[in-house]
Amino acid sequence: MRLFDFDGRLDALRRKDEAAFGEIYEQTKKGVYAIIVAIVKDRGATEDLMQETYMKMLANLDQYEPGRNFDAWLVQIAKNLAFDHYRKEHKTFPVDPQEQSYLFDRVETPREGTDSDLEEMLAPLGGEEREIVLLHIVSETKFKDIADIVGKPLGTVLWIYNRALKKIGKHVGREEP
Amino acid sequence: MKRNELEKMIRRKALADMPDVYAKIDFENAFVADARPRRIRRSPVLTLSFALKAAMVLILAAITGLFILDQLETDPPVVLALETEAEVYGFQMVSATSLLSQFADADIAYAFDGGHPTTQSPGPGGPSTTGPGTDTETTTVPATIAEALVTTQIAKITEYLNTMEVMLAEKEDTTYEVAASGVEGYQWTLTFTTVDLLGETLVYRIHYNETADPEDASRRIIDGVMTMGGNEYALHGTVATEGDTVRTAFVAERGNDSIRITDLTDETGQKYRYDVVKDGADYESLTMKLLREEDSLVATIDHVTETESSNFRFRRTEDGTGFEIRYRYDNGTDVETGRMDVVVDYDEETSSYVYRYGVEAETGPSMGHSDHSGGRTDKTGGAMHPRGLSTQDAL
Repeated sequence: MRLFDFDGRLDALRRKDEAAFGEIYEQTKKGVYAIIVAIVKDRGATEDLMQETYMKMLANLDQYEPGRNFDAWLVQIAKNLAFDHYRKEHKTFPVDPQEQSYLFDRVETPREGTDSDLEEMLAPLGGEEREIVLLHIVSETKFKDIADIVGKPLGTVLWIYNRALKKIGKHVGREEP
Repeated sequence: MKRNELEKMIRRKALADMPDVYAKIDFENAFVADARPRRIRRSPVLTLSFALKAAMVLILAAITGLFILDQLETDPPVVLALETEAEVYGFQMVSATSLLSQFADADIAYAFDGGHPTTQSPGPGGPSTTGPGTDTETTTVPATIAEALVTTQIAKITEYLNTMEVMLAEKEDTTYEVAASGVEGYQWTLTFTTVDLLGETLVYRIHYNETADPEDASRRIIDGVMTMGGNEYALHGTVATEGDTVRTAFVAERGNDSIRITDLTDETGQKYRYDVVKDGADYESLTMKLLREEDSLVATIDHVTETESSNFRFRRTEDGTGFEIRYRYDNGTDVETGRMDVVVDYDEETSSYVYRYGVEAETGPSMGHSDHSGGRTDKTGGAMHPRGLSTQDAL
């Protein structure tokens, strides 16, 4: 059951109610962050892309159809922007061709700070696994909604998630329960 | 480390560095939609240069079109799904044993949700009975369910699917190798390696002897053994050479259950007929045709009885985590066609993996979507324990 009334707050937002925007921001920021950090590992870029996501959301609010899954819509905006960013970066950074087998393996920009530990933990994961793990764990997105976002059946998402956790468990050198 | 501890650690590490961009958003000016300069299309001015370029493009298009037409009219070469002797032997023997083990356990397979809708994804605004704190939000109260005709065949398809999961994988994930056997009494060991839908590598071994038929110089006789699911299956076969054609026939048996494979391969592709005997009586017959599409092995199963007929086309999804099944089912009164998307899901209640079927009946009297489940045989730790197939265990 959805506790937060997105459509009600979006009505207010259309009337330029900044308080409504604040509530929506608080409600969605983890999901936006999770999908961006799953694709882009650069801290500075993550910050810029989060900002850009909300700007784009506000500018394109009329395109959102009330009653639909607002979380998924917003996360899709963030995902598209993150991919665009990646593509631009990819044009400007030489990349080892051996690492081109999968898009996410190629994002080389190192991150700063404590999340290098996070990157180390997530190192064995492919891009889709990163998306699913981070969306579920960081933003507590329901698997059913994640299935909508990644465009896969619920069962597949569950399986990918379980497999990813096993990989992380093995990678950190501890036994997966 | 427990699973929830691992999740907490990831969450803590991720959120520790989450930026707060709220203050950076220019709220007042953000409502202006993307202003992109509109491009004005100009009508091309017809010049000599333009006309020459257009003519060259047309000529090139015509040549390309003729070339493509020529390619389309030429019959494509038949690509053998199984090329080597090891592949031909291995596929037949492993698939026969796998199918036989499924049919032997048919009572169990039928008892597990087969043929009855068990779950239904909620539509927009549809009912949800998810309890607090659960993640999957799978409903237990179905909405209106289209009773596709093929739902009566789910248990049967599940039997096939348990075998297809083993047999159909990406070429790079599948190997058939024959080597001298280290097991006393057997000349050869055929090792079949594959990857299941959970990404687990499975290894099956068949130990066998191959000898010349004393009564027919063009035939060789194969006798072997294979262990699957803790049960031992005897394998007998013949390989007959007629000119350029090699015909194989294999029988896998255990007690009063057996399955015979007859090679029906012709110029249209590799085909095999499976005749199943259960408890000493004829149980069913089916025909399997194999195709190679890109790097994937695709199988089509035809099953015909006096009252109904079905055709199922199994193909692993590109990511290897599921199956797409195209089907045609004729129950003697109506004909239905459609597709099924199958994934493996973990059932918390039974602590086991199951197949989840999303059935889409596209033509026929009951078009629509419904969801179903079917019991999946444990490929690694239960009925098909590959690691139990050490040479010692197998004999």
